Amino acid sequence: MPMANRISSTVLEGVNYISVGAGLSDEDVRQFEQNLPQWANLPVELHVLDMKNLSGVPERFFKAINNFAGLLSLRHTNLISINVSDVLFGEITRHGLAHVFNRVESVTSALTQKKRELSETELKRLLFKYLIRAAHLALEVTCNSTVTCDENYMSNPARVPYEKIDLISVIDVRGEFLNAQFRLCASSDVLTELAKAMLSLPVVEPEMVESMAQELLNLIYGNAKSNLNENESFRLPPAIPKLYRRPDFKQIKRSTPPQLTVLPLVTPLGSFYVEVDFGAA
Amino acid sequence: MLSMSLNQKTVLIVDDMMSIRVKLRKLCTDMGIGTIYEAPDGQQALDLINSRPVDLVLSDWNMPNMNGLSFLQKMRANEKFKQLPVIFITSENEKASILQALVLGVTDYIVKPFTDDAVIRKVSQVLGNENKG
Repeated sequence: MPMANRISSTVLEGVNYISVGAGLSDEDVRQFEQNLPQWANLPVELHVLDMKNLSGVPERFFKAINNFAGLLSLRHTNLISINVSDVLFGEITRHGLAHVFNRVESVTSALTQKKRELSETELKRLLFKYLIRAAHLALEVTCNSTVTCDENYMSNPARVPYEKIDLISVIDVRGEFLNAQFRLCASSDVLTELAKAMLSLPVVEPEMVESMAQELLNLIYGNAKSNLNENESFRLPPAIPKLYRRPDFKQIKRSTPPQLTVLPLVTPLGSFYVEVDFGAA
Repeated sequence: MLSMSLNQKTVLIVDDMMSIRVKLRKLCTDMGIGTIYEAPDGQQALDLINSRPVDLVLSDWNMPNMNGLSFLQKMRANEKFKQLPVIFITSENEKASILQALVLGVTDYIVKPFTDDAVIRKVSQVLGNENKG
């Protein structure tokens, strides 16, 4: 929803990003005021006002934002302001609107949830739940397939057919929140079928099969990480999977239960396994 | 009308995963986009856009050498690429991540795993808008 003046709005993934450019005029603010009811009704969770370190704005801008915040409070939607210069924040405070503008120093710290204290059991329960949910989504959307996971099977790595595994992709997570290694183990045959389904191609190159092993773990870990961080206040970092071929498997140190849990993921195209190893990282 | 003009367009796909690059290339080809380049990281993508004209960048976020966010930041710091449309295609869907990308000037955002329709719709929208402009 771009405007032809110095206040523009971009809506992406539940965020309305309002950019306020330098040289704001009364006319710009008037147009902004006309758009406010429509913007307040946008189906978003958050409105972000980027002041781009401006040193000043017209007086009526303060009233407009106050009105906007009033409309948002009726819809229980939040407004935050970023890149607010100290000079402008002084003006905002003088107008008694500091609580309305809700200035934040850092986007990341403002939107990162407070770390939750979780028991080991609760942490594992949530982690596995979100990993399985991410696997469902990855297979359904990417390969137009389905996946099931027998939860009773989770702690029985002895039943994983390691002799049939050709490729393992690995993500190491080391941090204040969690130390674990995530491994996706699969045969070339299964990965070939998954890659063919993903690309809608009758034949795929061996390089594609290897890339599929990494991308599948990337999709599963990445989706689980984002949702755990956003919904459950986890602090999982972004990561890039490494690939191990059969001759390199000896480099992988596999723990034993209870430090190792295996999620067997069964699809019509064949099975693969996601291991979560709390002892290897 | 749109498909006729798309064959004049150039798209750069930036992703460290070959499977995703192949998937996106296939979608762009099926859409009728004329020229498609690929890069496995932000650094190589930056080198490429400095040497060849590009109409749209489809970029991953988490990549080795230079990630998508640094790539976007470096692009926007250069006057030549301030208006170049960039769509992030990534599994990073936390609000803080989306906002970081918006502040740096991302044009649109597609969350992985993505459907073919989502990519086709957003690429058409961005290249279509560019045509109107």
